[in-house]
Amino acid sequence: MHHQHYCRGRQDGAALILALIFLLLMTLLSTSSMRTSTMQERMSGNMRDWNLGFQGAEAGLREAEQYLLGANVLPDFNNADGFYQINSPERPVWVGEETSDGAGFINYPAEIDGAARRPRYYIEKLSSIRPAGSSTETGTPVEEFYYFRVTAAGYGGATENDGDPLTAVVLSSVYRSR
Amino acid sequence: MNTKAMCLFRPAATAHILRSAVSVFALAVLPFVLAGAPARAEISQEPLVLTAPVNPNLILGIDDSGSMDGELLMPANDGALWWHTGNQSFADGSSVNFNPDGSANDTWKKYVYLFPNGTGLTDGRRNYADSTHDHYAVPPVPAFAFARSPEFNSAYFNPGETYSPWPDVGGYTFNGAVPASAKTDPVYGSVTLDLTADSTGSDQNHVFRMFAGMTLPSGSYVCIKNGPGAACSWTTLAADELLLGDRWVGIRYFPATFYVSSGAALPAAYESYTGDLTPSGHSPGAALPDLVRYEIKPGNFSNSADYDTAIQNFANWFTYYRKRHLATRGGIARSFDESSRLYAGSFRINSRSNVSMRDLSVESERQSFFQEVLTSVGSGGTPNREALYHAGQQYERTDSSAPITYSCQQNFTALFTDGFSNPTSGLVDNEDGTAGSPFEDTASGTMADIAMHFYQKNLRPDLPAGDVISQQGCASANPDPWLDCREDLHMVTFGIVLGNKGEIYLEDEAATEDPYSNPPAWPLTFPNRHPSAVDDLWHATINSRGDMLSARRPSEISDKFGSVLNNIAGRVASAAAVATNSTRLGSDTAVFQAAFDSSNWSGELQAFRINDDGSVNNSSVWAAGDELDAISEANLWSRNILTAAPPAPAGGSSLLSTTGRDFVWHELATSQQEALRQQAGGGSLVSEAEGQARLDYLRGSRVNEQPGGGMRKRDSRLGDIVNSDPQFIYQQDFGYLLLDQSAAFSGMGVGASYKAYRESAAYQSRPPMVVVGANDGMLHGFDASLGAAGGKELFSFVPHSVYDNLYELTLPEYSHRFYVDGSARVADALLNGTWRSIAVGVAGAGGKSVFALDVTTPGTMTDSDVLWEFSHPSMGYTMGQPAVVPLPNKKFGVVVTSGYESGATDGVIWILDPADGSIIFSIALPNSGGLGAPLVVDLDSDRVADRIYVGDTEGNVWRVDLVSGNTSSWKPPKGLMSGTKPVPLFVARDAAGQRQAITSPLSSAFNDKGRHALFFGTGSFYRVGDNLVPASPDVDSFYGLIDEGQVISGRADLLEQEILAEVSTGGTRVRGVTDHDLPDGGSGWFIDLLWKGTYGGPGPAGERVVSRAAIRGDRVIFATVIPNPDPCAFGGESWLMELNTFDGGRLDYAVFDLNNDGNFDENDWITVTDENGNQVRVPPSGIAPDINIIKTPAIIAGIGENQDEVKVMSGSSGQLIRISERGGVGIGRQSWRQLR
Repeated sequence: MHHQHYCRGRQDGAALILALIFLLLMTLLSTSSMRTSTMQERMSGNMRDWNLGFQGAEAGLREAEQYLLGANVLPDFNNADGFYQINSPERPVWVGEETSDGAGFINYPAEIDGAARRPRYYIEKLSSIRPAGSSTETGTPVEEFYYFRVTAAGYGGATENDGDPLTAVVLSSVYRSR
Repeated sequence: MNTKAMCLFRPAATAHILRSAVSVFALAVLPFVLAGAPARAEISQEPLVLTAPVNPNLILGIDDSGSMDGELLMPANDGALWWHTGNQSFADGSSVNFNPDGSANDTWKKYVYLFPNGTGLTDGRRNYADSTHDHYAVPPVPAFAFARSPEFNSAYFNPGETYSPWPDVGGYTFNGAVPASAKTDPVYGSVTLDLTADSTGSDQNHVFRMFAGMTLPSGSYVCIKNGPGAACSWTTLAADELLLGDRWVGIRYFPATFYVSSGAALPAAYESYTGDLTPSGHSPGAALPDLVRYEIKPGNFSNSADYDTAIQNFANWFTYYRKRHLATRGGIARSFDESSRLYAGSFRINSRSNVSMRDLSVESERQSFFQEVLTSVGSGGTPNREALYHAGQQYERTDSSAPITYSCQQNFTALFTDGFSNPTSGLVDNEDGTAGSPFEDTASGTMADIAMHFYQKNLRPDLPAGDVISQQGCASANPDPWLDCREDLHMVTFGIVLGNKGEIYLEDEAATEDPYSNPPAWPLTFPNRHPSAVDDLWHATINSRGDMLSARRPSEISDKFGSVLNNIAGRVASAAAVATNSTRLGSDTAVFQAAFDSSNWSGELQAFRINDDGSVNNSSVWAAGDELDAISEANLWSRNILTAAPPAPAGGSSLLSTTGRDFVWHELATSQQEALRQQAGGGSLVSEAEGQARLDYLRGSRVNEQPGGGMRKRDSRLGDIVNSDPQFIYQQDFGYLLLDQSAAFSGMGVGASYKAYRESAAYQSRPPMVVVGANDGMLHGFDASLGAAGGKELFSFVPHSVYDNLYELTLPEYSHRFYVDGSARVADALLNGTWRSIAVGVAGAGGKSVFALDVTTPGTMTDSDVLWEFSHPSMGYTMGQPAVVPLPNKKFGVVVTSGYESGATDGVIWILDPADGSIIFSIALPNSGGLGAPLVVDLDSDRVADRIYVGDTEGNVWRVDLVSGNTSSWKPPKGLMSGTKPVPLFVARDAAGQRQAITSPLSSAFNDKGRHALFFGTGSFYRVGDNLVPASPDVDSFYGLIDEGQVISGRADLLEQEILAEVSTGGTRVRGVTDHDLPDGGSGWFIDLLWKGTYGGPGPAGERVVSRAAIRGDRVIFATVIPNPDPCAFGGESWLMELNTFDGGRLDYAVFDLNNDGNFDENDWITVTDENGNQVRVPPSGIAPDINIIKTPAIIAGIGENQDEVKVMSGSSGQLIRISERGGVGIGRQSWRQLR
């Protein structure tokens, strides 16, 4: 008897908490939709430039992914020239105030019509993020890692005074090649 | 086999007789002599995929005739001394009388004893009383001194021999005889003789029988009687007394006396002999004394220790070897003391009852066998023909305790006899009449005919025919006539005689040495107790492809007869995993397959290209054995063969050698040279020149190989490669760039220096290499390129731990054993701050050590590249592959376990410094079984070792955490400690609670929940008998454990998956498995390796896992072994299983293209009945490759546009096959986001 009473009491509490959570969610949703519409208004002037950069970055991603899929033998990820260990300090930094090309990147093989610069990308080997079911043994040649993070930058057509593209879009994908 | 003993007896032994004798019997004798005393279930020294686990049968026919009681073995009829009453002499010229009639009568008086001690065989006395004409004791007078000389009476004490008490078998303990009261029989009665004091006896049957013409010399103290029961009184003769009639004489004599020729060489104990060396005794017929008498008395030796040695040796001879039956009984016991792989039974030739075969591997049955042998005495005639016929009939028995139990069993009969038989006839016809030379003759019913009868006959028509393994060499077009090539059940006869000659045997030297080239004219008539019976027995052994062993001295029996044939079929097989030079298909992708040919124990390592479609090219790119064999004799010196100086005591009771040597004679230590100079079965060392010749042979020289020389003929210089998996090394990235990001190595710049090492010219230009251990005593490194240099030997290394057995490789009677049979580890490592590539090898079942070589520049290695060889009193046979890993203490370490049969209670894991072999860390695992290969894992992706796991043969899984830079804190986690002692993470037990041995290396991975999981199968396939499937086999399992640092208490905590069905589809056998879900918080899963009866299966079949599982994402892939349940068949079969890594159930997609349409889809699924009785379509979870037994396959990915995989595996049948499989599932973009 005592046990039943106890359970009924718990159920009452849960209903209250659930109601509160729903209220919170609805508030968040409405706030978010307001922000999106505001941003879209601001960006409409730069839309073409942004779209060009986005398409370039996506092209860069796909180029890198096709390379990873097709290559029988991958180069060493020696922290240079576009091939990096994950989060290597030498990799390019294309996001934030201080950008840098680090120890090198790979250029997209073709020009994008209207874009101020070819897309570029670098590939990081995801050796620190071990996918489920890969061996944890050490002291052996590293297993071929099939997971990579590709980071690609695409550029719009407008340029700054120094000739650098005004708009850069940076995309990143995690890709499994095998 | 005792080549030396045989050569003594056949001094002019030619290569030919070596072939005939050695090929038949040396093989026969060696396995047991060399194998030593095996413990139960010892490590097999032969490849288990080949050896028939059926032990041979051996029936011993033991001569219990009255003549075996004799203390004389003269070159005369019945081995006796014959007094001719007419000539009044024992001698005919300078030889003893032969007495061709063979009977004792008024003319011939027969003497067979030396120490008259009454009668009563089972009281330890004489079998025979003094009779009218025979069974007398030879009077101890100087004229008959030759009877007490080993030079004439080959049964007599030979001071050059060391006589040991019988071995302690059959429940008996035999100690050294007590000289002052030496027992007259080791097991019968309590009669003793004081060998240290004068003996006087005048009672009936204690006197010496003398006849007219014999002389008692002056000074003799005698008691002369005119009849056996007459009275007499003792007196000292003042002058020589020529006897004129029959007398019964008590004569005082000193028992411990022997005579040798003047100037004969005696052993060291007689150097202090001070007695009179003036010849005083006579050889047969000699007019003047020509034999020196030695009396083993304290006063005759200036050194009392020498006296003690001499009298002890004489006393042992007296008690244990004095009579023919004593020497025979003890000799048989000694011969089989160290044998266990044999069914043996015995019968006495005068009581031919049914023989009970005893399994010598079962202690109680051993006892019974030895009990029978040691008490085998009797009296009667010598019905050798009936005896041999009886043995053959035993093998024809079909009753429930019939000797033959398997269709492939080898059957031997050994007749231990003094050979002087009483022939009967009519048992068989002229069975060898058309057998050709040297077998045939025209006589009927002889021993030779009986032997031929049971050799040619199928002894058991009720069993399958043609299953017996014929001898090596039978496969050739014209097998040598002395080979036993019968494949139906048959009997092979051996004769063991006590040194008696026939009329041809040991008389016609050429025929005795080589009866095939010089066919004897076999005797056609056989008088009683006549030497022709010896020839007939010899003929019998030739007819049945056995051998005649003539033990000139009875003590030679144990040397001569050690064992019976243990043939291994000559066939090509492979037992090692294949290696590949790439895990992805490219234009130069190849696999490397090791194989062996058991017919001459040669090996091969071949490279095969993988075609674009993933198939294996049929023709090899190169074969390393061929390349080795192409080296000219003159260029053999250029082989770069290295070795290590003998290890010396180092820290922590380890034995360590850090000195490399060239494998040439003058660089070897004396102990290593002496190891090469050993002889089979012990004995003195062969000459230094012979030792050098053996080393040359090991280096590949063929000049001393048979038939030109006396050493074993090899098909190839490359020895058999059995269990050593080839290791490929070229420019693989060990990922040590990441070390810069590790806590342990940060700031040292080793990551950057590793990058520089790999970019260096030396690294870039060095050849690809395959490293593999072979049972020619060496770890080999071969050039693994696919060009002109491919397959060439770069270096070899002979570890010190195999030296003790190296000489056996040169013996024609070589019986296989393992030398360097373990899998090496080839890895990059930091040695004293410098990056190098090293090979760390183990001898496997061949030795107890681990050794390291610097193979950075494999083409130009010198003795300084031998880094070290390490051993330890706690180290057993290191059958697990070592690991070379970076450690949290900023060093690299070689991780190795104490292996199998270490003799210690606790197994040990050592971490050694790769630079110098010193111990960095060690930990004892209490009450562990034999430890397998260590698995060292890195959990935080910085390449630095975090944990070591190891499984053992008791089913324990151990874990040791390497948690900080301080080695003193390296131990199991708190949850796996009981006080200060490690406890296992898990104990593998079957459903009945019985422990399951873990011999396969472990694998590990994170599971889909991010938890660390271990994978391994259980089962044992390395010990003698592991390839025999008992009637109710144990059940082995495969486990996937989730390691949370706490003890997993048992299989109740694990999810069970089951094999639902085995079905055949399109000619391929596949398996369906359950797909239960792993509950949250589960500790892992297991699957028992059987198709249970509840699902319509046959139940346990002995299936097990002994090779490592491969983890490929959501797939765990492992190979199983099922030995053939028919012990007369070889090998067995395997399943290649592919299960879900995370729950052990079936995958939800097809991995095998069963319908061969190039697609992996639902058309490749099978229909099975699930655990609820419903018919369901499921993807198969296992496939039977049908190439006998396999190991874990090599996996090559990237085949075709779907990126499929091919698994290449080598079967024990020697074939390479591939199985195409679906490539990785889920390729493509996993996630996407915009950063800016």
